[in-house]
Amino acid sequence: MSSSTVSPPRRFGGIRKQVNTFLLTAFLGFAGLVALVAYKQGMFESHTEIHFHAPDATGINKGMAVRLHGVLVGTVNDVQLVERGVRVQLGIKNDYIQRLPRGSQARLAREGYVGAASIHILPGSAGADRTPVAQGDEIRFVAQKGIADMLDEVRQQATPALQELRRVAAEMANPDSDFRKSVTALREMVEELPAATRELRQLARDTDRAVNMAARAGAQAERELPLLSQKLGATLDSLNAASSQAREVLGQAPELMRGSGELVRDTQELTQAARRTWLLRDYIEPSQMRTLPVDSFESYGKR
Amino acid sequence: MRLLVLLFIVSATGCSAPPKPSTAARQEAALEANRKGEAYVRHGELENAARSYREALRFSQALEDADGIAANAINLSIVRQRQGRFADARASLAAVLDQRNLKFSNARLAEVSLRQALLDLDEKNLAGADDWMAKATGHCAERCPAGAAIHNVRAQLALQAGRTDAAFLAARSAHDASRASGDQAEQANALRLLGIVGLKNGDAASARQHLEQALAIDRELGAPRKIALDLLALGQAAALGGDRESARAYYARALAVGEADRDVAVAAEARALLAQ
Repeated sequence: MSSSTVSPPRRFGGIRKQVNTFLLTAFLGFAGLVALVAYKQGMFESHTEIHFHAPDATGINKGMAVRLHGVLVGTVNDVQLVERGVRVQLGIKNDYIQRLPRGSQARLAREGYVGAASIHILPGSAGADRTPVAQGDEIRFVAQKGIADMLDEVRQQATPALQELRRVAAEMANPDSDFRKSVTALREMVEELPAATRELRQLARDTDRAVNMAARAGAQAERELPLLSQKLGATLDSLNAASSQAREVLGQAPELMRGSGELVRDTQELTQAARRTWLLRDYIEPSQMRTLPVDSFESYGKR
Repeated sequence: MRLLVLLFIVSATGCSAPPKPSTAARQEAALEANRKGEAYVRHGELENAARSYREALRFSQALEDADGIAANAINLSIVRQRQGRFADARASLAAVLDQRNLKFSNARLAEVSLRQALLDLDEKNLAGADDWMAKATGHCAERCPAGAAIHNVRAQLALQAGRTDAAFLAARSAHDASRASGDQAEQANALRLLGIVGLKNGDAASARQHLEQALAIDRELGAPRKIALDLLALGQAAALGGDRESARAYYARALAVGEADRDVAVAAEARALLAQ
């Protein structure tokens, strides 16, 4: 009896070797692809984990990019619910850890207004703690305000200013108001000024004429004197009226100053509200709590 | 179109009651009060500065903002100490020391302990100052922003105790630490202390060399009180070297600076030295 083993046809000679080679190549290719993806994801780089607490995780996702001055320095590793809201775990590449001081703040930002969201790290100011963050450290999160919050703020800031403007406008329209009285008094005073000036000029001319005539004829001067004194009296009366009106105008000055102070304050409030609006706030450096320098010579010289 | 929307929003706001302040608004209010406090300190209006820092501290406490609480408590304690209100200065620091539930950074705790030591030093409680210095050192790790200041206070305590060798070593450490961290104010303080140690050791040349360096830095920083202290010590160094004329010139300069800065203590000391 001949052997029952079936030998492959001649045209399939070496097929096992070729299949094995193909499978090995495919496996190596797949493994290389996985390694490349892992490398691109930064899995071969050592990271330092830090975290922050946020009241709301809206817009924050696992795997989201963490950027410092626009440079990718890490990713969001985890988002957990805790009592204070959410705890967001960040994995920062160790190459960049020296550039992240402990006083740093995290902020949720978008590339443009509709671009991809990412966590932006804002390094602390000169007064804050400059030592680099370490494993497990917590940094502060600067909350991103929603459109409702912003509207609330604008409304909150603008309401008193609008009320004040309305009050000022009403006061200006009222004929019995201090402002209208001041303007009327000022106008009357201005209207009387040409007459007073004319009388003064006339007085100067009369005086000159009187002095010349007095030199020539004392008797004639005697006749002119009553007229002169009469004109002088009228001029003094005009001046007296003008000064009393000027006094009245000056009396209104404190009220006007107070009004302008309120307007300045309102303008400041509106400016602050505008600084916080989404149109402007990305272009303004975030403020930070500042500490006076702790001076070792604070007590020296008093002892 | 945008203008119309804005006009609509602005007109709609006039018809509503003001809402309750949000967290961000409170945070902004705390920062605003902090900035106002700093401006008042710059203009020498200490009572107004204290009011602003107290307000900022209150806002930070309401938000449980640990760093804000520490910053404003330290600022308030500095202002109160300058006013001579030591009890109030300590009370402000209690906002950090008595708050066990919040996590303050070691750097902040070191600063708070250092502030307590400075208050004790001002009240001549040297033992208390020593205790607080030990705590500050404990909080201060390898790289601590307050490291140079801690060495300088240690040098002052050693000088008070008459240990000039220990004072020299501490001031030298402060000088090295401040140079490394770029803290010019503490570098000038360290140089001044090295000058004072030179005076105590009867070494007029060394004292003068260190004090002139301190004076150059203080002038650059624009610190009138420190300039006056440098000039007084330079006068003493000149007197130690037998140059009475130069000594009187330094004292007169210190008196002019003290009077211009309205520093009563410095001016009084300069007058006393001129009268000798």
